[in-house]
Amino acid sequence: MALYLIILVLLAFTAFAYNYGRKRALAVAGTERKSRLHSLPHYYGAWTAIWCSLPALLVLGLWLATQNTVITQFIIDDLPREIRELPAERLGLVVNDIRNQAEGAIVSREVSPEIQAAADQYSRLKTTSRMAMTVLVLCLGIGGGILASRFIAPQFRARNAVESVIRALLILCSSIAILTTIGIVLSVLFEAIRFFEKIPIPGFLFGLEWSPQTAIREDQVGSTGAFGAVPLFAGTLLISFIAMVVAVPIGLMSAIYLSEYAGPRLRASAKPVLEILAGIPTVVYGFFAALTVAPIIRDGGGLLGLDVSSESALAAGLVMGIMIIPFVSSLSDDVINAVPQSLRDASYGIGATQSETIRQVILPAALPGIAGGVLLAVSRAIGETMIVVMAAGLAANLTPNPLESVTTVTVQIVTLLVGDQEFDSAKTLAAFALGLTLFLVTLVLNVIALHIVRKYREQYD
Amino acid sequence: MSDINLTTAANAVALPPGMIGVNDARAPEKTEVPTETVGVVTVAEPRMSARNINVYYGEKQAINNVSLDIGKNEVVSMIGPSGCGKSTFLRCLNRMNDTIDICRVEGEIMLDEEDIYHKNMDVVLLRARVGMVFQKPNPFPKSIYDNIAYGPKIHGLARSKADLDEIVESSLRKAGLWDEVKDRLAEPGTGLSGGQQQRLCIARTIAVSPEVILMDEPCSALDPIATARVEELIDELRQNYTIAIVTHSMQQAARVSQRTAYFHLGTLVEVGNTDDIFTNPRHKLTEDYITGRFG
Amino acid sequence: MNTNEKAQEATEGHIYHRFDEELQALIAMVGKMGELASEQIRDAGKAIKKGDIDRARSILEREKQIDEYDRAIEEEIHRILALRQPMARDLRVLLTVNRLGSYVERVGDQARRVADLAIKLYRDDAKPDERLLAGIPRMAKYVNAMVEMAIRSFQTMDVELALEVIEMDRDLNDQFDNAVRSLTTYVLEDPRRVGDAVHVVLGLRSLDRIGGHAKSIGRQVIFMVRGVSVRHQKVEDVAAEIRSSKDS
Repeated sequence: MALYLIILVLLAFTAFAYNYGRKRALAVAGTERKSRLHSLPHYYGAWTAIWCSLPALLVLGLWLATQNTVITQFIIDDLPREIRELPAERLGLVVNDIRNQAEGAIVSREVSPEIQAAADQYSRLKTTSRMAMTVLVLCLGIGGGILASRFIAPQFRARNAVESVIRALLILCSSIAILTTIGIVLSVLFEAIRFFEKIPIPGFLFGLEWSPQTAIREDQVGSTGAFGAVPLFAGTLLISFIAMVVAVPIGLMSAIYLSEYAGPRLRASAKPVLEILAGIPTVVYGFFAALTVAPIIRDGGGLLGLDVSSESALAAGLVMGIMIIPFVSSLSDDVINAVPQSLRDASYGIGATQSETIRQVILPAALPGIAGGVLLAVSRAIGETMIVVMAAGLAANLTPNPLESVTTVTVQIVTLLVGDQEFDSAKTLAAFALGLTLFLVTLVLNVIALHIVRKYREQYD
Repeated sequence: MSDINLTTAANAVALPPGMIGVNDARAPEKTEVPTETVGVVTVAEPRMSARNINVYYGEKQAINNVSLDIGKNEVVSMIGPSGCGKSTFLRCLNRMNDTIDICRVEGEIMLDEEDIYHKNMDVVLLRARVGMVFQKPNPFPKSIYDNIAYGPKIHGLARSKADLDEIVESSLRKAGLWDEVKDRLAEPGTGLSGGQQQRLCIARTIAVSPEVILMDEPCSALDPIATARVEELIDELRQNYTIAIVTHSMQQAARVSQRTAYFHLGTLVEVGNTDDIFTNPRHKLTEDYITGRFG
Repeated sequence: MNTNEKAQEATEGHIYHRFDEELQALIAMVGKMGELASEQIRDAGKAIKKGDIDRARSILEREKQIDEYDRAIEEEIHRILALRQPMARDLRVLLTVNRLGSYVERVGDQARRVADLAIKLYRDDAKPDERLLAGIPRMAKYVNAMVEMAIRSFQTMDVELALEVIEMDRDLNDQFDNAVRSLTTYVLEDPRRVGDAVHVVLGLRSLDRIGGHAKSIGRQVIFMVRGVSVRHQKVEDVAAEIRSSKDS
């Protein structure tokens, strides 16, 4: 039976179980106070439906997840000894062949009789497994439903039971997100540890030179490579700094204008437009930076007699700043709006002008929230990739001059991982170390920012 | 047998003759919204006088033809059910309604012979002369000192730090808060108790030396003890300021004010000496409200 | 307008319905007390007229009930003032009830004195002279009517009726003067009866007092309804005011 059919049938069972549970609950209920139902009838229905569907679905999922491994193990055990004793990679190839053969796909070599036999065995096992699964799952569904309906009695607390099942489901969902995050961190962490086995941590964190090209052949120029991350972080900070210099004043002031001065109609139209900026793909910003802003800066610099690199930190920073404006303005706008009207009234009531009120009352009151918003924007800027890939260049210069070309952590991660790479060279693993460091930096920034924002929120609630 | 006459207890406010004893002609008992105010709206020495005020929020008329004087050194209380326009009227007196876009005010309000809605009137200066205290204590998230110093600073009232210190101290003293906060002027104003915060807000208003203080339900967020303190303060402030107070508590109006105005659905139904309003109101609507029969 | 409706209207319509009920109960209590007091006066008059000592004694007994009413009313007022904080008309109603309680209680006291007089005059089966009794029975009837009217004016919040009671007091004063004058003549004719005559004068005085209390009740009712005290104003002025305001 096809998978979707099984699920459909199961759903039908569940629907039936729901109705049955409900009816049964009504049937067993008496009119006396003692024999009255503890919960509303639909809770009994839900209870039956849960028992009908949940265990069956769980078994179905488990079965699907493990059946391939189990069947493969059976096949391998049946293979002739010389094949069984092949190294793991080559054995994997053989198994793949068997699977492909069984499923009628193209096979990489001549089909030997052993393979053919194994493939037939594989097909048989698969059919059996599917049959067994179908029977088991449907039996579980019916059995669960019947079992659950046995419980239905006026005193049975179906509501509490259903509520706790729902709570368990919710916990499961929320833990998936957390587990995924942990998984990502761990995968980066393990690779980074492998990197630090080759390059010591202090050398990575404090080294002033970045040149990850290691020699693949003995005689190649470029030799050992240098993995000092300081120039990358310096470049990242330089570009982020330029971006914040652009984004914070413009974003903040536009937020002030929108929340304090603009009329409701202007505000209603201007705010979404500003937020569209946040919706533009960063690649598009990258084009803009590389093809429009960078040449303008270069030509402008040339007119002033300055030597401007065609891929300058300034160009990337400027465009990144523009990209972040909506972040800053929208967060600041929220925070400024959260300042109670009563404070404005108080200030106006004393005879303060609007700008005095904003400068001396509203901004100080909103400052922690604004700071939080800015920190969130900074972490966004540090993590930004596409603009800098396209506009900032690849040369790891350690320079404070925004007119020169610098590179950032994210750009290096991209370049290190683009193309065919061996996953055991220091060069490739360096990307994970960089990623881990970047992750930690932005994590710290986010934690600080959220903490500040939350502390601020508490003040007026 | 007692010889105390209940209704002729001394009235603190100078009123034109004819005010006392007008009771003789009891207003016809009718419940529809009146078009004319019962009682005398004028006083001998007005500080502010409003004439024929109409206020509109967009299409909706919030105040209908209200005239009322606020005399020198008196406390006028405005009472009435929610939505009767008493707060709106109060906010007309220092043009706080200007901050609401759709609000339109018609009529004439004079502050010491000056029309406050005249185009030459500077709203900022007006609000320094007619200060306002709000329902919820709303100290700025600054230190106690800076809360008070804010007004004098923006109006340039202090020439030196010493001047400013003096203003802060005297304002806090007048608000009866000095002894409680003198050792912690640098602490944030939001850390005070509700009653202290409200007195801080009153001190902040006093600091810019206003002539009139408007109070919009200043005690509705306070407990009875804090309320009593603030009411006592209001009574003391009457020596130097003219005060208009909007309140939901009739007892409060009775305790702190010399004259009481009863608003109903945007009209000023009745105005008179607080003594008379609370012992013998002349309009049926006023009496129903005061005796707890409204609705 | 039915006068009872007026009283109803004056106490009704509070958002707290219990307050309506409390006020109405209080007014009813004053009515009962008033009824009791006027019964005392009536009985006292009859006891004097008919020499009915038993009736006079029962008056002394019933006096306690009036005092009991007075106490209950005072307690209830005390309670309402503390719990309801009444204002304006409600406050005046309560103040009026408070005063009415003590006025009616004093009316009861005076009625008892008249009853005492009856016991004194008719003790040992004495048969006092018709002229000695002077106008006591007639005056008792008259003040009884005054008290009844005063109480009714309170129950119905009827200013006109209250005013009538106040005006009746003047007539009562005339009656008192006449009675004293004829009693004087009687004593001059027969000086041996001077002792009894003094008692009779005191009885007349009591009745006159009762009339005075009825008049005070009337004034208090005018204050309650109109919110202006008329207790120390001349009757003519009060009457002119009330009647002129009614015309306008």
